[in-house]
Amino acid sequence: MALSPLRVSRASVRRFLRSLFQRQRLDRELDEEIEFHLQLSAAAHVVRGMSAREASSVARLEFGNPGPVADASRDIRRATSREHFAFDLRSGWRLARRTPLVTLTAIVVLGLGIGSTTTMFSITHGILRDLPVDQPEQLVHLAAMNRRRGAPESKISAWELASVRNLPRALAGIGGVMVGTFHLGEPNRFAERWSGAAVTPNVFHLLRVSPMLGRDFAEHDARAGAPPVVIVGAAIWRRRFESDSGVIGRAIRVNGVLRTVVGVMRDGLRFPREEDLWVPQLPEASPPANGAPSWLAFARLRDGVSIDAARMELSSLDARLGAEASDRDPDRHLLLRPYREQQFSRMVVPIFGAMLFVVSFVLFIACANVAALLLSQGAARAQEMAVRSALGATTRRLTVQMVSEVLVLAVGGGLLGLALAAVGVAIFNAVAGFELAYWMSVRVDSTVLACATGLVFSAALLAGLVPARLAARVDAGSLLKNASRGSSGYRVGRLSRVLVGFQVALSATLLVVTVLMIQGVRLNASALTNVQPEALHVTRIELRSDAYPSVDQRRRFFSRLETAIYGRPGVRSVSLSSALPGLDPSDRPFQIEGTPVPNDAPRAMTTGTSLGFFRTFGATMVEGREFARSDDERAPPVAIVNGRFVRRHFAGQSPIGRRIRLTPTDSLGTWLTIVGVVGDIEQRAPPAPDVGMVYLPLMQSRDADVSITVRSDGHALALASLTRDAVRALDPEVTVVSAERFDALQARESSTERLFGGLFLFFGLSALLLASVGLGGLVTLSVQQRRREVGIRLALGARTTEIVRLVLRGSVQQLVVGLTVGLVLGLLVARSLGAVLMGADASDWRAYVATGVTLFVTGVAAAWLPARQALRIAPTEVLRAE
Amino acid sequence: MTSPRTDRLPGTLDLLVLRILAREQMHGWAIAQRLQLISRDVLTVGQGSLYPALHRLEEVGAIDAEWKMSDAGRRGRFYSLTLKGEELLERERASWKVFTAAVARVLQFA
Repeated sequence: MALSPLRVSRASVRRFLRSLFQRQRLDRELDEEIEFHLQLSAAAHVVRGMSAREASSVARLEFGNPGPVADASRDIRRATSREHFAFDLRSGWRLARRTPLVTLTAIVVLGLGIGSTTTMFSITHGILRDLPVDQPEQLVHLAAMNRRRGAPESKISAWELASVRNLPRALAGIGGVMVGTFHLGEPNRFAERWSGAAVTPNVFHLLRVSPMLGRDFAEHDARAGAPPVVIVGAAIWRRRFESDSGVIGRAIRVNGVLRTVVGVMRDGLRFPREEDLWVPQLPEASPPANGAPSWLAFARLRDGVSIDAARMELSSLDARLGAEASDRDPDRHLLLRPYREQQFSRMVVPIFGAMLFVVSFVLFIACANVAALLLSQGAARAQEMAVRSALGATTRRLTVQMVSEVLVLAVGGGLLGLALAAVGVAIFNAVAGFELAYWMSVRVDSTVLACATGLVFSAALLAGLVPARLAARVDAGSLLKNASRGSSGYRVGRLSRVLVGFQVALSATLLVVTVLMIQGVRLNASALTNVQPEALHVTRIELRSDAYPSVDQRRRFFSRLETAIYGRPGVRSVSLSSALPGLDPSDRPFQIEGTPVPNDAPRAMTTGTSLGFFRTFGATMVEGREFARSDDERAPPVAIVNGRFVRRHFAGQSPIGRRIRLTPTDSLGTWLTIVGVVGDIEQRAPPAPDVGMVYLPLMQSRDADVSITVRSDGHALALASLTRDAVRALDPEVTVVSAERFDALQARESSTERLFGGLFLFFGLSALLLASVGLGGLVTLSVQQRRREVGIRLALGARTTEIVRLVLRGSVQQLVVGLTVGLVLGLLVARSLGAVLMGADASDWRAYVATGVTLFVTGVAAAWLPARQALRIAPTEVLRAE
Repeated sequence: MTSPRTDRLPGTLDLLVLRILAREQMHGWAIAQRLQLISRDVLTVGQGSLYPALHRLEEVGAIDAEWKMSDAGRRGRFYSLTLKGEELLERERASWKVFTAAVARVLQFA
């Protein structure tokens, strides 16, 4: 059916708005115009010789009573669109009250649709915000690209930063940031750990923010030999300095260095992500050209300069740099991209895009549902429309009327939707609020309100236009003639059925994606199921480099700590490790002895582990031996690899006795002999089946940050403070970063995934519910329409099963057709989502079977309930009523 | 002399107003005066129909209104013909001619 859009001229909109908002002005103008007329008229009489007073009264006499004139004019002005609109709204309101059940259903259905969409929009809008700085669109991120690897690296080396720092003319300056952990300490006070950043002194100037107390960094602050300074964030200022405005000039110990506080940053700026203190630093004077990328670099475009102009300049500069430095990787080059792209990880934008897309399905289903609901009332309305059309109402007029009536329902749905969105946003903030970076803020603000308003109007159009067009098009003559039979015509019924099939199809698509997404979430959240996480308690500590400068000191501390904890009552085993299974994904390149180093070295994840690691995490040795106490710093370096590593890099043959070395960091050049193979512990979420695992003895690694995991006899909570006390007993100044149960840690790490899963489950269930309501409503209608037929059949002795089959046949047909279409569509959508599914297989048949069965069963149940009504029809009653 | 009512035939007043405004921009009182003057006092328009007619024409977009200072130094509402109004005038004028010719023929030959 072709729907021509409503044609509304701009002038008529203007007049409509004028009549809507400028009522008083119009009245005033009308009075003024009449007054003007009277005065001119009087003046004319004066010219002919009357006195002023006489002329005035004659003029009034001639004009007559201005009241009717004014009324007539007013009527002309207003009797058009506004009056119609008000009439339509009133008629919609009356209609809504006359059929409360339909109204309530429509409002709840639309409320679910608008609420889901608004919630998702609030979240997306709240997260994909710009930085809270002046003209954030001018900020660009200076990234590096390796032509061989293809993926951009977000950090650049000190050499690259130093080389480009003041050169490009298109840029108002380039700033560099290195995020790190900072320990604030004073004697006799437990050390506090904060996230902070070493920054080039121009960073705040580039961002165009200034400290609320004290001063910004100056270039000389970063020079060698300059007195060390620090700018602290508002959070530190409040918590550690109790909002003391005299803090400027005080000295605090930062990572063991005494620094003078020169500024307090304004609230709400924790650049780049969640940092609360900043120290000035410039890239080293003459760094190696092949140094490790460690700086996050950004720049501000000069006013009026496009990013493309800056790119051109940078690429010619980059080419010159490459020619100068022979030891720089020739495949590496610098690139500029909008800072926004750096702000959000690569997956965030597509995931949110997918979620908005998916949630719009819920809204579509809701609209289709309401459209079908309105069509079901079509019989009664069609007559009214036919009468009005016969009396001269235009098609357009009738369409506008019906859409306006739906608008009344949509506004109700919108209010309910906003309430739902407020709840949804509150839940989101409770579950995932702490995950957000400082500039993100999920709330129901004016943009969200505007979005909800837009949705209300769209929903009214979507749900109202089809039934309106259909009703307005009805052939008045034939309908009025047939009125006594109460038939709504075949077409209306068919369209309802199509709409319900459409809903089933969309629900199936949505459910397929939901099931796959939840599967992906589960893959991510529960990579570790074999370790009984509830019996594990994890404490994380960090040894400051100023207090424990040498590897030996650190190893000695770890060893003493392990002894102190082991053997306490309730402790079954204890493990110290640089990373935790499933939580610390990091990998590095390595080389197997006897194989050449390819351009792209294979990568493996590494963890430094104490002796109790495998026992604590429930892994068993496949071959070879475990680490022993003799594998210390004096013994030859050894490693244990996992089964996955062996399958991937040794084609399943025994690697015992073979040697590998890790590149390019600290262990470069040290060959490690593989002494054992251990069963796979999932070390990364989502599982990375391609990346093997290399375990090193903690006593041979250089780690300063370790997690102490204690497995208890019973419940982990019993051991909550055991590790902390042991640490404090050894050295009260060691920073305890966190202490919690392993399952709580896992839950926190996967909270975002679980939130996504929860949202999808909610959307999926909404869709299922809406589709069932639609199907049930249609069956109810068809039972009502076929009362006479059913009555006759019953009177003629039809069996109940036959009657039910008769009523259900159409529904099952729509279900099957809708399901088929929806499952195919689901496969297509799932395939196109790709990585958004977080590791789930898009063509996993189980998801499709689960969706199909769930929808079919729910659908049949939804149709079955109203179908039973048909059996209660008393033949005598129906036939008598005819 | 009896003055025939301008609204004797529907649409007549609209036609007259449009024709008068085709010459120049004018306010309501001047339109009434001009109508009276040109028709040598045969056609007078009651204010009760003039202003509603003007507002109706404005509503359909045949004429535009703006507030301007009149010669007398007071703010008056001046009406002018729009493009749409010109077209309307042409159509109305043509149909008026057809209509009066027909009436004349009936009066002559019936």
